[in-house]
Amino acid sequence: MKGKTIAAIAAAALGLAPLTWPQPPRAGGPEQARLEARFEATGLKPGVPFPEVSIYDEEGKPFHTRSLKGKYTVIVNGCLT
Amino acid sequence: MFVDYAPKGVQFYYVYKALAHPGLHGYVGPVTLEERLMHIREAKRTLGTKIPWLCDNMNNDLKHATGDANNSEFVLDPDGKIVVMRLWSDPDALRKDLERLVGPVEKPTTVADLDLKVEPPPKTAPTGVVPRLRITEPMRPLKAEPLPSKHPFYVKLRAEADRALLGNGKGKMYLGFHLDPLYGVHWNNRVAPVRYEFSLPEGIRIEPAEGEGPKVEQEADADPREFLLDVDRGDSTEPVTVAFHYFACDEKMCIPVSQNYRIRWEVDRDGGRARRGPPRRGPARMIERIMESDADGDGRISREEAPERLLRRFDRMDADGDGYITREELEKRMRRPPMGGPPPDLVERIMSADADGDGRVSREEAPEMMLRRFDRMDADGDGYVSREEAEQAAERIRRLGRPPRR
Repeated sequence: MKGKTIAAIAAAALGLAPLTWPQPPRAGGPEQARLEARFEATGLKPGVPFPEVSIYDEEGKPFHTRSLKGKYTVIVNGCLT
Repeated sequence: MFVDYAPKGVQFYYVYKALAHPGLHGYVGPVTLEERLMHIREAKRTLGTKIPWLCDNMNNDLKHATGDANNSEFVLDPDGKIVVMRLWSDPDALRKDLERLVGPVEKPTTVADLDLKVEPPPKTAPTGVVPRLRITEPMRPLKAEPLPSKHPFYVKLRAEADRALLGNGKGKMYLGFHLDPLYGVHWNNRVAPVRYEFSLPEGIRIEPAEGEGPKVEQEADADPREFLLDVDRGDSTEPVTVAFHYFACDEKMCIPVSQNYRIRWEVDRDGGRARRGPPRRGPARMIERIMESDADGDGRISREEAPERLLRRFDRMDADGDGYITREELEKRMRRPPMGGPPPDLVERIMSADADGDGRVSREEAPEMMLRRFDRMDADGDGYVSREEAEQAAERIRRLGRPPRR
């Protein structure tokens, strides 16, 4: 386990990671400002209901975000690249 | 977090959204829901995560409703209301949120505690055989709608336009046909090259309106077939249709396929940002530089072609001893775990992430893969990896790394 982790550190440092989450834009840069503006333009903020959208679960069955109730929920957006 | 808080009743979901950087690691944008689900399975395979996924619909409604951010994060309360929202996921901050909302856990799990496997993307045929198109102008993705086909879209079209074309109707269009690695097919260079042809409404000129891909010596490859075209659409906003003819081949089949796309002169807000051209750094760049020595273009480097610096290591790199160094041999070698110690500049590579120049790497500055090991590297737990801590990490590798095989 220990060796594996260290090998992974080296692999990461070497840029060998085959798959990564997207990197955040440089703090204070124009790209971040653009993303923040778009994020704010959604009108979403604490206290507001999460958007109600019909999507799918990982099996392809219909899933409505309305059903995300009854528990605390963490949602993280991501993709393969 | 999932390990610590799922047992406390917190539900966790990743949401699969449109690709942020199509083309990265060879992955291309799915065109059907089933393909998005294939991407989710691929993400689970390569990331080794057990967190369940949700999948945005093909209109990208959730992506749009949540601000199009690539890696945003939300915490909802049991009423479905937002408690916390972040433009970019921040595991440390999220843990603090959950400690506040649900309560602390006795022994928080660190990323280093998890035996997360990281698998490479699939590969069916060599890449780097056909040179990528070098485009210096900034391009924006165009909406390209695949038209019904009896075959899966083994190949995906990416269409982009430069500023002039989008603005005054006259400029350059990029047309890239990318193999989808999840179908496991490759180009068959023993048959006719790929071919595209446009159907143009009156008033729109594209040059050349027909074209074919390069003839390639190597039997098979997986490089995109790319074209840069001149477009003059005048005042027309009519979409154009392009047909693409190719053979989809794997070990069991090789079938002719013709598929059509309708291209609109509108920027696709979900098209992501493609990264074209050779990698700028890292082992992939090193491989590209070595392969530049392939003078006869047969996809391998003979002793005669090898420059002096490569000749010294030729036998070690020629793993199968056939007298040629191939891209596969280089890639295999580059993917090996560290043998006998870390690379000599490992510390510098780690410290190169220090964007604000304060002599240490914060979580915000750390690249994602370093982030996964951040806690382990940050020995004093102050939230930064100092040069000294980077050196300690290098020393651990030096101590535990296996000796070279040859």
